[in-house]
Amino acid sequence: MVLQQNMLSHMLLQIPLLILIGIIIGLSLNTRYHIKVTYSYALPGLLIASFSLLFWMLPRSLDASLSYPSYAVAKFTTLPLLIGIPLALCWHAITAITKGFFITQIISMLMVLAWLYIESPIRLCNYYLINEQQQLGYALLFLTLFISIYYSSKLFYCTHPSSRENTTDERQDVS
Amino acid sequence: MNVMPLPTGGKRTIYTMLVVFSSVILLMMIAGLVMRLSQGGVITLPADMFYKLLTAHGVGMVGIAGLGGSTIMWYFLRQYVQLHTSILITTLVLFLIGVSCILASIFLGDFAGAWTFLFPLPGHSMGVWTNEAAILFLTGLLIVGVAFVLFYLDAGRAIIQKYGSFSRSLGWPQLFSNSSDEAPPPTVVASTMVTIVNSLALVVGASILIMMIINILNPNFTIDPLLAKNMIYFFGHTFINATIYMAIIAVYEILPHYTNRPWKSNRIFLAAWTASSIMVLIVYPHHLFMDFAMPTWMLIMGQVISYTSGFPVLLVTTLGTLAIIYRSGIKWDAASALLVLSVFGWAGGVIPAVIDGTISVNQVMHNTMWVPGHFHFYLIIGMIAMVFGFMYFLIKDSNKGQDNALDRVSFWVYTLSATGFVFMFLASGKEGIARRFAIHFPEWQSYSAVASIFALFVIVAAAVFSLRFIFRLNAKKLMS
Ligand code: HEM
Ligand SMILES: [Cu+2]
Repeated sequence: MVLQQNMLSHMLLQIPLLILIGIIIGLSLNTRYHIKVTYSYALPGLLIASFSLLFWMLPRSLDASLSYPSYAVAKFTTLPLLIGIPLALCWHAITAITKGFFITQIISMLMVLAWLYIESPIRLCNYYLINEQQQLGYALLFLTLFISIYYSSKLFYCTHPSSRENTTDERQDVS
Repeated sequence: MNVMPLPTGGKRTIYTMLVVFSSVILLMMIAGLVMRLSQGGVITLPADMFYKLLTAHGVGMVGIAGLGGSTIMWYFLRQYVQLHTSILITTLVLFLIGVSCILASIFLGDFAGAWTFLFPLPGHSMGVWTNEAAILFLTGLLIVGVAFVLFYLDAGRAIIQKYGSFSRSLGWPQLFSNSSDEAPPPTVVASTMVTIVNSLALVVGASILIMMIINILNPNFTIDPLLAKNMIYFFGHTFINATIYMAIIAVYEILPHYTNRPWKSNRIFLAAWTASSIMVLIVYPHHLFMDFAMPTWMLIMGQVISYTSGFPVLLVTTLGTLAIIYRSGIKWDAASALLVLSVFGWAGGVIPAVIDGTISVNQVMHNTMWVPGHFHFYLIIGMIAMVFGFMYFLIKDSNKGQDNALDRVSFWVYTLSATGFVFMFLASGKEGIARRFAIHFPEWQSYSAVASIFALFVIVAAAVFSLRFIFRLNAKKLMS
């Protein structure tokens, strides 16, 4: 696999693409079968996605996916199935606050991850060199910057008050 | 603009937050007094105890100012947009959990690395506290941060739901494209600004906190100390400044009740808030004037923006206050007096702040008592006075005009002794007395001793304000 030859493309191309495949499958499932995920199912769905992502963010798991076929199979199946599809099906069903919480969480975690990869004193993967690790760190830093700017500017330019009216938002108000 | 009534649950949470606010303020003021007495040589405090108190006082005051400001913001913003009471309660609970971690780390774990937790101090205590204590402190701060993130997420969501976008709730259509729609009310404009800047500040703050925790656990993951300092002050400066930008909402909302003149967002008002939103984010390098490794352009920016950062909002607020009370036949009572005082306390405190924001002055004044002098000025006479004014307004709501001589006397005691107290700090700074010193030279001690007397009166007056509030909150009011 060409994408796996370099840590950067493995982490920031192959994995996101696999997730994207899942998202596309999820979205088409959604249009074909009108699967309606309610709030109470959306949160566990996203938790499954988060924990699966967490697992594949460990350098050890990535390494294993290059050494053992079983891990490789797991990677190619779980990324679309356990992350992409739940994301596609559940994301729209959660409240704006939970979304915001995920996004702010992701931004600060990416910032920390970037630093971890840049500053790590040791090689984290057997298959990749330490300078690739640092490249990845800087790439993550730019990604963080991009995501923050993207979401901040989005908040300034979605000027349709009524379209943002999300009925699930009102459910929590205890008056 | 029709105003939505407050739900009972929300009201109760607001009252609870204000009771928490008053109790913490009083306790922390007493801690401050003890420090000042010890610097004055009146009592002897072991140095490690001094630094524990300094840490508790700093972090406690900054945190509770954040809580006090949020209380005001929520109370008034809730009249315009649909905020969730459940999120407010979650914020308060998380805040209290975080504070418990912080208190435990200081008083059980001996952590004394100051509220600014500057790298690498927390992880290098030279045996004064353990790494576990430092991690507990940083984790506590992280939890408090999460509490505020939730608070702002809810505010941002509700504002966007109603107005469509932040550019609209900041009034940009009215400001830039002559839109003839009614501009968003001052409360919404101010809340939007604070939501934006504090969300950014908290995300950066959370990152550096996690980085420092990892670094303590495994020091091989090094942190560039200058990067850490930049991140910490980006977070710290923005957060403490935002407390005033939240509390000022009380002035915009309450003074019109007294003068029967509405406080409207005109174009100058909108321009001022937009300008300050950007400037408050880029002014923090004024904390790093001593760091010669900083890029020069950042330091110059720090100086220039220090002159202008607070200025637009300060100006529209001061002039607005004068305009709204001039010949209005305003009725003076504790609430209106405290709020008007607070505007001038804030404006007054900005003067020594700007002086210290000048590189050539800072080279002499950095880390002298001038610094606590300026920020106690606008925090005690500005920010805290706003919250006390708000508390008087709340209890006045149903019991009309129940101010008595005690309230009036307390107001004057507070005003005069707080002024005396901050001027003793400024005078100490002018003499070159260092800040954050547990033990002062004999020549320095008289300043602290005199300041302690003023501090005592500040505490007495603050105690009257707080007790007044608590006693007038009878069960009936809580239910209504
Ligand atoms: C009676 C009222 C108060 C007294 C007696 C008091 C006293 C003190 C003293 C003695 C210090 C240490 C000065 C030094 O560096 O040597 C200090 C620091 C500080 N105070 Fe206060 N204070 C009071 C009110 C407040 C309020 C209302 C706030 C904020 C809302 C506040 C925030 C702070 C902060 C942030 C520091 C800096 C801590 C540090 O250097 O790490 N104080 N105060
Ligand atoms: Cu500052």
